[in-house]
Amino acid sequence: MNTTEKEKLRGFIIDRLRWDGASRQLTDDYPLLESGVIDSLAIFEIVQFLEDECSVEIADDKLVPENFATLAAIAKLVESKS
Amino acid sequence: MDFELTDEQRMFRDEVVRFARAELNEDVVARDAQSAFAEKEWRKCAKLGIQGLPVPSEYGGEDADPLTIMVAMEALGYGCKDNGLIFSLNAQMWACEMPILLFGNEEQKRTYLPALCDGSLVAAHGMTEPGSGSDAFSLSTTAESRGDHWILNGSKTFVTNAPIADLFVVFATTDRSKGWAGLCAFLIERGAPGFSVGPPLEKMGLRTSPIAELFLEDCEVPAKNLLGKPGGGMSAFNSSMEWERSCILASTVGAMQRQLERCIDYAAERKQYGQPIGAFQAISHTIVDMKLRVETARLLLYRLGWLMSRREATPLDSALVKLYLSESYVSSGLEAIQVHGGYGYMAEYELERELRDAIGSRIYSGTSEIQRNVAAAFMGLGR
Repeated sequence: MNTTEKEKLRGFIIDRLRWDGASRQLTDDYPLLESGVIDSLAIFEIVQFLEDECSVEIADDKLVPENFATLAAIAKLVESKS
Repeated sequence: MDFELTDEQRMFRDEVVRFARAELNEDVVARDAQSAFAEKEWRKCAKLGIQGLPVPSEYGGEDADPLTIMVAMEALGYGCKDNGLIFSLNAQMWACEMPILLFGNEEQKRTYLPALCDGSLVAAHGMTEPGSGSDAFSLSTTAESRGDHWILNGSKTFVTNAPIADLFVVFATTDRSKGWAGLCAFLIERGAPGFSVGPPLEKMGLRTSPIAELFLEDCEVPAKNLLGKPGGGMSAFNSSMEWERSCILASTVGAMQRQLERCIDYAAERKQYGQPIGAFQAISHTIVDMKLRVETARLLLYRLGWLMSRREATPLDSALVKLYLSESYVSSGLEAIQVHGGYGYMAEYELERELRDAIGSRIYSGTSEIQRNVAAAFMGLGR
């Protein structure tokens, strides 16, 4: 996942999901699941975003908590598919 | 965009209609009154390949593509008047076979899928609990790992097929504080220690599809019966719901077509004030609206099948199909009764049952309100 794609994902989370803080607080290791930013529906919105923006296909069995815990984890998931 | 069916799809559709009319419609009024499941007909459906439609041939299925599945289920709904039987088939296919197919290991697939396809096993899906329905991931059934087995405690309700099922796909959490991230899916066979099924629950419609509660009291499940990874329950649930939302109401397009044709025939035969009632615009316009509804429903459904085959379908597409088909089915049922007047209200005319069967479609597999929530989220709204 290149820097541009990661920044787009950061923007997507801030604009579209349950993000109430300042944008600078959304660091690569911010706990997205524990803080409730990513709920079960948001995962599918993120998958849709990744498939559209990064041209990857995320299989259903990859939709496990560890792959969505942080921005860094999501980036790693995308890189494993690229 | 070409929605012309292939010769094979047309032939299969015609075969399913012939089969359903000849084999599945015996004593439906009486079975509805008695809440009786059509066990013999279930096996006949398996022999034709209905239960195996989405399953690859290496596991005993038909390996059908999404559009062919939808066409076949539409044909089943057109030919078969036992909506409860079709609902039970759908409950097994989408909420049990699909999670096993998508998340099961090779041993689990080979153990269960061939028997589910050939009709020798019946499966049920336990997610909903007395305290968690639309907010499905707030469930309270717990799972605790004990090395070579798991211990489950809790209860499930509104479990379609539970009274007759041999195999259960059951969801539980390893840690409630984790929400969806703590969810696990398990395969539980009837007779497992600590597992029991409650008495059948009475319901408004779909009465030939049995439903009951499940009870798990220190229920012992072998470790090998975990379906997917620990924490992977949400994915197993959501992906099977995606298939369910997409396909479960395909049969209602066939049922709406059947209602439409009955209304046209009745409007031509029935005379009042010296002419067929179809000559009155109050009737003809109602029937035109029914026609418009079934045509748009079919287009929306086939478009989704086409998108699924191209791997381009999104939860927005499936939510819209579920929402539109369920609301259309209820409207069609109401209008069919209105066109038939007093006769439509009588059980022997089988239209009142169709309406009772239809109402559940606005509730099961995610209510119409939840479908609107999903659609809104994917349209960038409503969070």
